[in-house]
Amino acid sequence: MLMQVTDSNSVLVFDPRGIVESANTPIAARPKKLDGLRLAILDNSKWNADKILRTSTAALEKSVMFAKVNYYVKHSFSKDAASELIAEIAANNDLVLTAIGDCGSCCSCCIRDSVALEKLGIPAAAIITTEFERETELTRTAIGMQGLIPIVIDHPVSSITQVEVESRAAQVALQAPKVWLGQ
Amino acid sequence: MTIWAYGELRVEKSRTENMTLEALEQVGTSAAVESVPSSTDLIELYYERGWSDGLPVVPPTQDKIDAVVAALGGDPQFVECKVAPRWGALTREVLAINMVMAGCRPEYAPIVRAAMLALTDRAFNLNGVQATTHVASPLIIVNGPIAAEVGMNGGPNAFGSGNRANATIGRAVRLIMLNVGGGWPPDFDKSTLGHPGKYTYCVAENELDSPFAPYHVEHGYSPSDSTVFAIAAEAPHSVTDHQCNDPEGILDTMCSAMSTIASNSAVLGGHCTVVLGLEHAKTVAKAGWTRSDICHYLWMNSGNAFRAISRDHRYGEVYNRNLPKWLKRDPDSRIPIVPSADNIHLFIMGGHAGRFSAFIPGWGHMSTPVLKPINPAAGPADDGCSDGVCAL
Repeated sequence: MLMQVTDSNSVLVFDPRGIVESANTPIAARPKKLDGLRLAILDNSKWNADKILRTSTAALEKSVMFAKVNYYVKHSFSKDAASELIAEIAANNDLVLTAIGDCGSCCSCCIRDSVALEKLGIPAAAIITTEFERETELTRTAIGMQGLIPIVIDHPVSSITQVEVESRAAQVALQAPKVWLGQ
Repeated sequence: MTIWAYGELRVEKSRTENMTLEALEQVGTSAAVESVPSSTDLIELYYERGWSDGLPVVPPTQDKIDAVVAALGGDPQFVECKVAPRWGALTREVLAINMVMAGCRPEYAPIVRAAMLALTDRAFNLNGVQATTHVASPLIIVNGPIAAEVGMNGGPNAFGSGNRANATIGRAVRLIMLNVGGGWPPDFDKSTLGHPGKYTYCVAENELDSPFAPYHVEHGYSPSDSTVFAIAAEAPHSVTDHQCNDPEGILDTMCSAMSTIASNSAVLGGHCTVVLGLEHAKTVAKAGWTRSDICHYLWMNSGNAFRAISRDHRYGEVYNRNLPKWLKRDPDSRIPIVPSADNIHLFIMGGHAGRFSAFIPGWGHMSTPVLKPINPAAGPADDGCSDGVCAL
């Protein structure tokens, strides 16, 4: 209960926002090199997410020798991945690439999935589009991992041609190694 | 543990630099309070702080806040829930502040609290609903005696203006989503268009005039219980039928409204809401149809051919992973609007005159509607009534 009192010359202003409590957790430790590591692809089932991820993986494999690439699909792009799926990915992989954050709820959940994986020690690169950089910044702050860096590709994604998919994949191939290596 | 007090995630800087504000010391309380000269235009000040939905708010006073907190059971620092995506703590005091700002009376407090508990139920996925580019907003529908006790409207113009309880309960929910949840456009709320229900979207079922058992009774509660139903929803789409005088005809018209490929429901499944106006409902009931008959008929006779949803594969081979695996994807396969008749939520509303109903598409499978008792002691009825109807 508030105990402040005002005199006749003043009135009180009440803040309607409520407090936010959050601990800022650091991102996972980064590997020295990518060759020989197991890569998890987490497809959020959004339109064209599979095309972006498969094309990006092919582009990455031109320069990185992954020990294995494991493909996972989560049921809903607008919901967090199930904790069982996050645990399975973390147990069997060294790196994660997830997509696509090209809408408000899917971007939020890609970031939230990435934070969950980073907390389990797995460097995670979430692919978002340019329209959702600000939302990513706010989301990672709200859930307490300000050091999380996304991969940012051009918007849009859901209605693009294969040529445009390849262009986006080239952006991913350029940025993903930096995110995983912490460069 | 880092504690970010108040609005660290808001974009705008405070526009009150030229105003003398004295930050008061906080002792064991979570509500930031400042003292300003009594000559201050408080409505403008709340605007300047960015704490409004765009409409003027009622400046809270300690007495009004205390009255709401008392209606919630006291203990102002009790945290009812945390509100995504900002994850602000909704204490009873903060809930009360937002309710007063919305124009609520204290007796609305249990309804607003139940609505927020429904929205923050994990199944509802408020984080996604707040962030989505879709138009969806939570629709709150109240059942049971409390709706009449606080004067809610489920009758004429139920979704429209003119009723304080409907208007301010829905507005309080939205203010909490904005202020505590941080769902401010264009940062955390990424909706491309939004819809007018993002100001307020709260109604009651017209139980008094309905020929059917109320929604919450159909779902196992007693008529003496009160509940809130929350669903992520588009705005109501009017369904006009002045010709048909039998269930099949009226419901075929509803099926026509449901069977568009343009809604999220059509391509993402999930849940939807059907509102039958009184004239339509009475015609259907007169023929002996039950709520279950209505929902099953609508489910069986609405939907689209997969050829339409896939655009006949004009833009590449389409499977649509967001629809259930058990649906066939042949060109002429029927894709129902929602996966089950149970995912059609039926309410009876409106005035006595007018052969109008409404279809309200949902957001998709990403959010599951939640039905919460307003009186925490209430629960599924255990009165030997197997279908709820005998309890009426």
